[in-house]
Amino acid sequence: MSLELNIPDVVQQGFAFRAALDPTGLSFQLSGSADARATSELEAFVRHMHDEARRLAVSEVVVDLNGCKFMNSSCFKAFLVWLTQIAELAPDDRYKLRFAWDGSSYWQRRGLQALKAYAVDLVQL
Amino acid sequence: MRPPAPPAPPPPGAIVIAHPERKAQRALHRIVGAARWPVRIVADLDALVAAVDASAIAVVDATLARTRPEICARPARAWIAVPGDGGAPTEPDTVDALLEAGWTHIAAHPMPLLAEELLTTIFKLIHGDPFGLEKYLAWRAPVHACTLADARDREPALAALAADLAGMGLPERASSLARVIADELLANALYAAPVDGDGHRFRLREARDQPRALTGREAVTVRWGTDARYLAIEVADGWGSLDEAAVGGRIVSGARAPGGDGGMGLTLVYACCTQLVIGTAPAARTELIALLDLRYRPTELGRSTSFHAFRGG
Repeated sequence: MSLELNIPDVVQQGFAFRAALDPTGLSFQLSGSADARATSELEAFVRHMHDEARRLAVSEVVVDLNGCKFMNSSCFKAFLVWLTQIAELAPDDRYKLRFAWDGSSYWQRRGLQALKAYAVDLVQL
Repeated sequence: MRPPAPPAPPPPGAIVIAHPERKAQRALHRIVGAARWPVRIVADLDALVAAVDASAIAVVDATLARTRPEICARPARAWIAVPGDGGAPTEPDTVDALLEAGWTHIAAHPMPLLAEELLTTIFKLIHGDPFGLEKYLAWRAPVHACTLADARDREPALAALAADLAGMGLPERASSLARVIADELLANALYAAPVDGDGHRFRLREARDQPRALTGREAVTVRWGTDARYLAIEVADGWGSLDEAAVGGRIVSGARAPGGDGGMGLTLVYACCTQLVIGTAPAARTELIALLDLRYRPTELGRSTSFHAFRGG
């Protein structure tokens, strides 16, 4: 099994998604504004992240929202779908999403609390 | 045998369908025909605009609507956008564009959900009756109601909801989503809805653990019910302060305010549900209903959510 990461960065005007694999684990950094222009790209990126997390059998994925200025409902839903897909795996195959976030951002706090409430066993804040 | 009495005549008006595809035209005609209103079918927006007056309900292909989204500002009883292709949901970027343009009725899901959603919406519009989750559930589906006596009753109400849903055997994910939705809607009713005479939302910054008796206009009720198709969660307040026409735009772009809520609560609710329904009677009542379709997993329903906003008297 290749331990190289197979997810190309997505860098477009207004937003960027970057994945990284290093000795500390698999991570996903969102920056910019996750709005309507970013929805399709985010959904595809999240699908790739899920596939890679399963292939590499990681126990968690770090999702870094520190550079994310905004997220609309469609992009938020992409995370709900991701968590649903993780929850549908066999218990031994599940992994967690650990969110790194901006403590001064009220919308991030509200949104992440909602994600935690949705999948309390799969989300770490 | 005496012939059956005809149904009472509906109020005067017409339904105008604008869709470029013959098959979709026939399907939509079959659905809206149940309302017993005259139905006209046109193929383009120019013909639609010519046919729609203030008493009419316009049912428009969402892709067509997106080419001239501003038409929803023209006088009509309602403008309703429906999926462009019978088998596919409305694309999320089209839903977002229509919400931003001020559309207050967007049916995002294809058949068979479309038939249920469109007909209920049209019945509500024709009869001017915007309130009540019962309209979305099968006949006699039990509805559980919980009136909060104090602002601190939010958590006990959520616990009652979770326990009730677990007792009915609903999937854990549906219960979790329902709890997220109810929590956001209750926070909205308790802290965002109250306004003073100047329209200032004076409880926005109130501590969430502060006691407050909920009497008179401050009363907040949460109700829920399921018919095994839908789980419906309804939260109502007595302020009627929500600008239902502006909510769609806030959902799409409203959470940008640095350091502020900026409408994140309704954005989250919209993300979590299958259909968001708003009913308002200005200065009297705001009611938000979130519907979860239990027949589909969240991953199967795609990412589009339907949106309907009604204004009553």
